[in-house]
Amino acid sequence: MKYFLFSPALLMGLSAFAQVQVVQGNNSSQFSVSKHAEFSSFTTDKANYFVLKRTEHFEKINTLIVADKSGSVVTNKEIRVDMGSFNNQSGVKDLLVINSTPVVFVENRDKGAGKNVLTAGTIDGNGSINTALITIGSMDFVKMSNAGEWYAALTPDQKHVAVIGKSPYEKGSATQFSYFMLDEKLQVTSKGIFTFAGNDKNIYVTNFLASDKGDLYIIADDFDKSYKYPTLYKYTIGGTGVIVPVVITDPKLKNLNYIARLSPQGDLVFAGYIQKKSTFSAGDPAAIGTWMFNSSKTNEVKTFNFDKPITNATARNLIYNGDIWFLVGEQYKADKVEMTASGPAAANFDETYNYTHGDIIVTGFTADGGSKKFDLSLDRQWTAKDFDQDLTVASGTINNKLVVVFNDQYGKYIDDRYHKFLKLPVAVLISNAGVADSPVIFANELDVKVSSYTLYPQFFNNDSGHLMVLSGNSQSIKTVTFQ
Amino acid sequence: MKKLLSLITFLMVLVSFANAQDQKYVDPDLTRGIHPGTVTTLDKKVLQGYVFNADHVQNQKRCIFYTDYNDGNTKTEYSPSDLVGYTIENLQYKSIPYSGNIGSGKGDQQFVYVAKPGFAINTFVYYTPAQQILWQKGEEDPVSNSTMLFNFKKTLLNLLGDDPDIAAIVNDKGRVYLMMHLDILVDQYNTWAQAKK
Repeated sequence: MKYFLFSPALLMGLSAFAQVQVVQGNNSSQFSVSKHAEFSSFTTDKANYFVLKRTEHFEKINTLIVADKSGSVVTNKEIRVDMGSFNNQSGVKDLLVINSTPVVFVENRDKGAGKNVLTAGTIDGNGSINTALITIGSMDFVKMSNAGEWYAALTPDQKHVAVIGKSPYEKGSATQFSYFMLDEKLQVTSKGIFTFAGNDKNIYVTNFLASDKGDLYIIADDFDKSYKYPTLYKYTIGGTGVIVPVVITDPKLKNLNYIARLSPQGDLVFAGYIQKKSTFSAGDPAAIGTWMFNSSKTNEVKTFNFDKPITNATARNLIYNGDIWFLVGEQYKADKVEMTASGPAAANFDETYNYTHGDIIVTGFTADGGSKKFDLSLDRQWTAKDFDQDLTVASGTINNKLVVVFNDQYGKYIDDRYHKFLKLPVAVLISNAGVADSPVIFANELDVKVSSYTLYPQFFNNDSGHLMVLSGNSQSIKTVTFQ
Repeated sequence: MKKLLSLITFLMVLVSFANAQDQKYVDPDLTRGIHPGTVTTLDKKVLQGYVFNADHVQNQKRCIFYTDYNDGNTKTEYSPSDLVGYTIENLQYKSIPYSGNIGSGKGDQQFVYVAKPGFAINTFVYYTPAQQILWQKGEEDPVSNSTMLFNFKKTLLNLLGDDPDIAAIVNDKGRVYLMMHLDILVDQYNTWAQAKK
C-alpha cells in the first residue's frame, strides 16, 4: 500500500496550486445538530437537501435542511407527525425528495382495524406536511408488535419511488413483499406481490434500493457464526425473486463491513473490508484488504489485500466517477461508556460513546470491479466523547477527481502553538491513478482561528463539481461548498 | 403620604405588568472575543470583517469592528447611531430606539438583539440584563410592554391587524390570552405576510 503521509513543508509549498475553492452560505435561523444522527442527502437542479434522522422517546424525527444553490439554508425544520395512541400509532418511515419535492412517508398501525397503512405527503417550503396524505398501500396484521414494515427508495432518475411492504412474519412461511411503484405525483403506476422461493425465515431488511429499470434490491445481513455478511434479495418487476448470499469464497476470509451503491447500469455494487477468520480474537478488528461485488456477476466476490492490516477500517462511501469506483473509509471506533444509572432511571439517559477517528483510507477499483487500482491512506488522528459529526469524512467528486474533506489538526499545517489542536478543514483531491494532490487548507477562508463554526463532514451533499458540507455552532448552521 | 403610597402602588403595578409579558428566548451563545461579522452602515453598505463579542448588555451599546483581526489599527468603534445594525457570526443586532419597559416617549438608539427574525415583524430581546421582549414591523417604531401598557388592543391591532384573522382574535380575546399567545400570533402574522407577498 502506498502510504501518503502529509508533510507540512510540502503542503505549504504546493497549496498555492490549490484546485479546490470554498464558498460559505448564510447563517440559518436557530438550529442545532443532534448527536447520533443518521443521514441521507438529495441533490436536484434547484436545491440541495439534507435529511438528519434521529429517534427520541420512540419517535423517529427527520430534520429537513434545504439549501439553495448559493448555499443559503432556506428551510430547516423537524418533520414530525402526531404519534397517535398505543393502539393506533403513526410514525415517519422515510423522507425522500422526488423531483425537487420533499415527500414524507407515514405509517399508521391501527390495532382495531388490523391494518398497517402507508401514506405519503408532500412538504412545502416552510417544512409543513400537506395534510392531504395520499394512501400508498396497506397490510393486514394481528399483533402491533408484528405489523409488517414499509421501506421506500428513490430511483436514480429521482422521478420514481419504489415502496415495498414486508408482511407480518409467520414462522415457517416465506416472507411476502408487496411493491408499489410511484410516479412524481405519488400515483401508483404498478403494484404486485413477490416472495423469494426457498426462503422461510424472516428477512431483516437493512437497506432497500431501486434502479430505474425496475430492479428492487433488498439487503439483509446474515450471520456465519459471529461473522456478518450481506444477502441480496433481488426482485425485478415482472420477474421472480432471486436470493444471492454475498459470501467471500475463501473460508479464511470474512466480511468486516461494507457499503452498497447502485451503478449507472442499475446493478448493485458492494465494497467493503475483509478480515481473517479466527477462533479467538483480541483487540480491535483489523482489515487485511477489501472486497467488491457487482450484482451483474452474482458468483463473484473479488478480494484484494492491503500491504499491511488496518485496524477498525470502516466503509463510509462508495463513489463512481465514470471511470473507477472509489471506496472511502476511515479508521473508526465507538466505545460505549458504561452507564452509571440503572433500572428505570437508565431510560432517561442517552447512550454515551467515546470515539476514535484515525486514518482515512481510499481504495480505487476498476469500473467492472474486477481489479484494484490503488490503496492510499491519509494520516489523521482524533478522539472525542459523545459527538463526532465533525470528525468523520465527507467525499464526492470535483472535476472528475475524488475529493475527501475532513477536519485535521491545525498544528500539522501551521506553526502556531496556541491553536495547534483546532479543527482545520482540509480537502484532498485524488486522481484515478491514486495520486493525492497536496491537501488544500482553509484556515483563512473559513476564519478557523476566530470562527465559532465547526465543519460537520458527516453531513454532505455532492453534485457535479460541488461538495456541500454543513457546518454549525451551538445555535445555527450554514453550508460550506467545496468546488 | 397617601399620594406617595398611591405612586408606589402605581409603580409596582407598572413594573409587574411589564415583567408579566417577559418571555424567555434562547440567549445568544457565543464566546467572548473576536468573531467573523458584518456591519451595515447608514447608507446600507455591508462591510465584512470581524466584530468583538462582549456580553449581552455591552453589545447593545457599541460595536467594535475590525477589517483584519490581526491588526489593531483596523479597529473601528461604532455607536448605535452610526449603524443600521451589525452581526457577529449568526447573531444579529439592529439599531432601534428603545429605552426599556418603563420608558416613555421615543427611546434612545440601542443595538438590540434580533431573537427571532420574521418576514414582516422581527422579535427583539433587550437585556437589562433580564430579557425584555419587543417587536418591530418593518421600520416602524418598536412595540414593547411600555407602549402596550395603556393602549393594549389598539397597539396590537396596529402591529398585527392587517391580517383580518388575527384582528378578529385581538378583538375577541382578552388581554391575558393575547399576552400568552403573542409569540404565536406574530409567527402567524409573518406567515400571512409572506404568503400575501
